[in-house]
Amino acid sequence: MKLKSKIFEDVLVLELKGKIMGGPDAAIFREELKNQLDGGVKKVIVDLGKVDWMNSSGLGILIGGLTSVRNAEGEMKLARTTEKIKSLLMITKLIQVFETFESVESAIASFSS
Amino acid sequence: MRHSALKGISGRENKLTKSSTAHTNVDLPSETSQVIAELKSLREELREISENGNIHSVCDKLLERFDRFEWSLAHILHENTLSGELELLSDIGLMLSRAVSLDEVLSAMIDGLNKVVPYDAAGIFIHDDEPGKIRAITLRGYSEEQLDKFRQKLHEGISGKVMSSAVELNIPDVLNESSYVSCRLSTRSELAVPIIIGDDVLGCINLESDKVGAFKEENILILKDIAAHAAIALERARTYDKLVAAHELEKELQISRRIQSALLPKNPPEIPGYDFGGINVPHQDVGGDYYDYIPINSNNIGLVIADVAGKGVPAGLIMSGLRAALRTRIETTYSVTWIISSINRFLYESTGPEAFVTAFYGVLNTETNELTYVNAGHNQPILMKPDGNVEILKTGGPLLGVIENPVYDQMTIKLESGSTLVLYTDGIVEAGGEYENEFGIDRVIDIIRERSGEEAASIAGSIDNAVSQWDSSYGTGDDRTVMVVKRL
Repeated sequence: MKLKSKIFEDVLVLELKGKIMGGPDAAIFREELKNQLDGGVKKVIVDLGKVDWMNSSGLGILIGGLTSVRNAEGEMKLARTTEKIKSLLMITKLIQVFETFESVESAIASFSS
Repeated sequence: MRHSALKGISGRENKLTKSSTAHTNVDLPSETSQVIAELKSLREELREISENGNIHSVCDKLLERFDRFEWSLAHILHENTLSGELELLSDIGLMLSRAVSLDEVLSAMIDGLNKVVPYDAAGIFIHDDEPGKIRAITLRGYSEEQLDKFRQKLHEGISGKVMSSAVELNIPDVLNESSYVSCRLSTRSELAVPIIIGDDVLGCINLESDKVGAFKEENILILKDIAAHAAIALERARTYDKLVAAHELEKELQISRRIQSALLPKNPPEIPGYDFGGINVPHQDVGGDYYDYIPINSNNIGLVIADVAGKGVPAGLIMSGLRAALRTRIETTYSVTWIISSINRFLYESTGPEAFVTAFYGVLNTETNELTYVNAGHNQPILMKPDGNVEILKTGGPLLGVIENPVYDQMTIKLESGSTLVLYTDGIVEAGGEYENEFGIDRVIDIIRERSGEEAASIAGSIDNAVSQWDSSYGTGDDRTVMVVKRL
């Protein structure tokens, strides 16, 4: 898994790439998110457009992220969820929990509306 | 520890050392017997001169020879120390090549050292488990009372300083040294040398003497040689401890595996009109998959399959907790949604946000042949009907342990005669890795359709076999569990 952080005004976009499989990936994601939240970020988008594959441990990373952001009184949304991730979110019924958007732009726009 | 072959080796080395370190610029006798012979001849010469009555000549002769004897004696002393050191090092080397305990090696080291570099107290110190602290592993010349007093402050003293700087310290007078932490009141000088391997400081050897300026430059060199051997001894012990720990962990894992497999059903229930079969293959010694048949009363049986996120012992512990929580709740209530909501709360309160469980729980009434279930984010079970049509059991709510108060729905379905219900975990459908290679639900459905005439256990085994072959070609490695319920 590769992780890139971008900031659009007050929105943090975490771009994930490759396979997301828990273990060390979780630590990388958690650390980056924590640093950003400590820095005062409240609006977070996880861009999953370049994620090839994700297993259930990878799903744990997103759940952990959501909890951390909510604990910091922020919001976390998902953008560009691939078919595999959509199916995981459907099976686990987390689709009720995560707000998902077709593009990063629409996800960013949803924060200001 | 003395060994005749060893003496031979150290003897040879002594000769080599002698020839290379002899003071060739001064004409000196190098053996004690020669000194004695010279002393005899000097006595004769002096007697002759004194008989002639010339006291000045006697003094001149004495002064001239005095210098030479001083050199000779210093040289003999140096040679003796060297041979002592070589013998000590050879002994230690031999001990290191054998299976001798660390304690024995270090004791031999510190006792042998006293013959080469005399001390009044000595210790070998290593890092303590408590960060920043150090502790003694071998000690000589300290009383228990003295040790108790300074054990807490050890890291602040000379030994601590040497271990953090990796540089030796020779303190000729401890009373003039601010970092000296007094342990023995009579100590006047101290010498400490680090025990180093690669870039790691493993510990230090510390000598104390009751004399001021007791330790000389050459003593530092000897102590460094000994410290190099101590480093090998400590490193060897550390590697050995790691091996033992790995072996212990392996044993503990086996025990955990045994405990866990005891928590899974040994035999499927025997209920007229039904056939049950299940298989569980953990990826590691301890898995996070769980399935169970829980008898409620004569007409009702609870069916559960669950997958704890992650693998190994942590997942196994959550699985054991889940099983206990589920079984106690099933004893007190029938409502599947109440049970699942309650388990969700239990896991939400007792685990971190990244620990979650997907679970399917249903109660099968074997009289009405109805299954009332709730699917909490678990891979959707497949119901193959007698006409070959497939129903996917998805009603329920989100996975367990991450959302505080989610809503769970329940559904009741009828199991017609000739139906096959297959429950499984993600290790089955996700086998093979990336999604174009994934085993997938369709292949599971194909196997059920092909083998629906067989016994439940055989269907479960066929699915697991197919997945295992698929997984070994593509490979992800996850726990695999399949549970099959057939209405005959």
